Amino acid sequence: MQHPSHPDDQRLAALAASEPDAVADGPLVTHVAGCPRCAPIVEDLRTLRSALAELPDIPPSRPLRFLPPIPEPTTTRPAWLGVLRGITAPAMAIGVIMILVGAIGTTGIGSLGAGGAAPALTSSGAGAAQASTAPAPAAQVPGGKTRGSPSASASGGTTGLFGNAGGGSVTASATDESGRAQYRASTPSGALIVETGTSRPPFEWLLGAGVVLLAAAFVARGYVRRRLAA
Amino acid sequence: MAEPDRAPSSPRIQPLPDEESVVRLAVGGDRSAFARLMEHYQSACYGLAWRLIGDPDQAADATQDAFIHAYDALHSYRGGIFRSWLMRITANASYDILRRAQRRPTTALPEPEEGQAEPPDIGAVNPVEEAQKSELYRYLERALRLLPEDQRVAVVLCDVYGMDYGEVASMTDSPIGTVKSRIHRGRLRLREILAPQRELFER
Repeated sequence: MQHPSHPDDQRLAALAASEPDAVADGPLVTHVAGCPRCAPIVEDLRTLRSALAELPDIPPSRPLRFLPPIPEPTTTRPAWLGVLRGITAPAMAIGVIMILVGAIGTTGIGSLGAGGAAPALTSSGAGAAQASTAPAPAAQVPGGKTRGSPSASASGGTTGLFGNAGGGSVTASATDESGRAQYRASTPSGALIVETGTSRPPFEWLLGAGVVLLAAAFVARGYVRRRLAA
Repeated sequence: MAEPDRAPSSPRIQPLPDEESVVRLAVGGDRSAFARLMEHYQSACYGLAWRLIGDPDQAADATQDAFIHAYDALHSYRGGIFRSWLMRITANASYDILRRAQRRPTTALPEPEEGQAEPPDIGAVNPVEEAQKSELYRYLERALRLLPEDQRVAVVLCDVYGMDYGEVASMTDSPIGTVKSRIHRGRLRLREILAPQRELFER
């Protein structure tokens, strides 16, 4: 409250708090010393400060935790382990696909009706011929010659199955030298020669690579699991 | 909300006899030493939070937050009076809660009722004097709650917990002049509120 003939109350409060500028204010100090209104205010404020400084502590309203929970240990996992973990499953899937494709291609099932994997057919003579392949492992004759029945197979996985054309007998021979196979079929009306290209090393390669990839993926997966569990 | 006038109180906590070594152990990572310090000062911290916030549950939350902040900040403790360091952390945690409360729609604190006199502690050295003190504290607490929040925070930090103007200004993000003005107006307002109980201060 402001009184015209008295100092501002906040100046009195400053004096009660012994603030340097108020204590050094001579007219203020002189006034307060002889003023029946201002002197009790300063005295009350000093008493009030003392009482406030004595206010006791207060027990908590509920039990408190004195310690934060112990943080879970954070494992510092190498980045490459995460990458390895991420690629094992796709690698296994790719390996399985490679094995399947390689096995199918190697055994020749895939060449049924397909142009790319089927042996190239060249025919001579008047007879019509049908050719197909059937899966069979190589029955290799020492010396690189393979001769067999129409269902005989040549090294490299190529098998020729020659139907009976025009009622003639069909024989097939397979020559496997330097990866090439040659099939001959003879009929009463002439000879039908079926010549393949090379045997199918891409499929063998695919099969082998698929097995290696699958095995590597299994090993990597086990390693990652052990590291993560540790 | 609990009736603040009836909040049980306990004398100001004194430092632990071996506080320096306990603090050193806590700073070195000894969790049990830190827990011992927090247990010892929990009433001091809670009292500050309760006086700043005025709500027992939120005061307990603020005290709990302060313990966690103190644990995290132990590495930055550079000596000095541990209680003051902890009080500053508690005041900051309490002020954070106050600020959050200010951003939400608030309901006014209920008007404190006239406090009932607590029975004198018959185990005290001077039961009459203890009863008078207890009554004086009750009226003071009630008067503090009647202050506007900015004045209450400034008066509690400065007069009850002995922080200087600079600390209060830093804590409340206010200029020192504003803090001084709030404290002076707060004290003058307290004097007006407590005028009917003037005789309690004259004993």
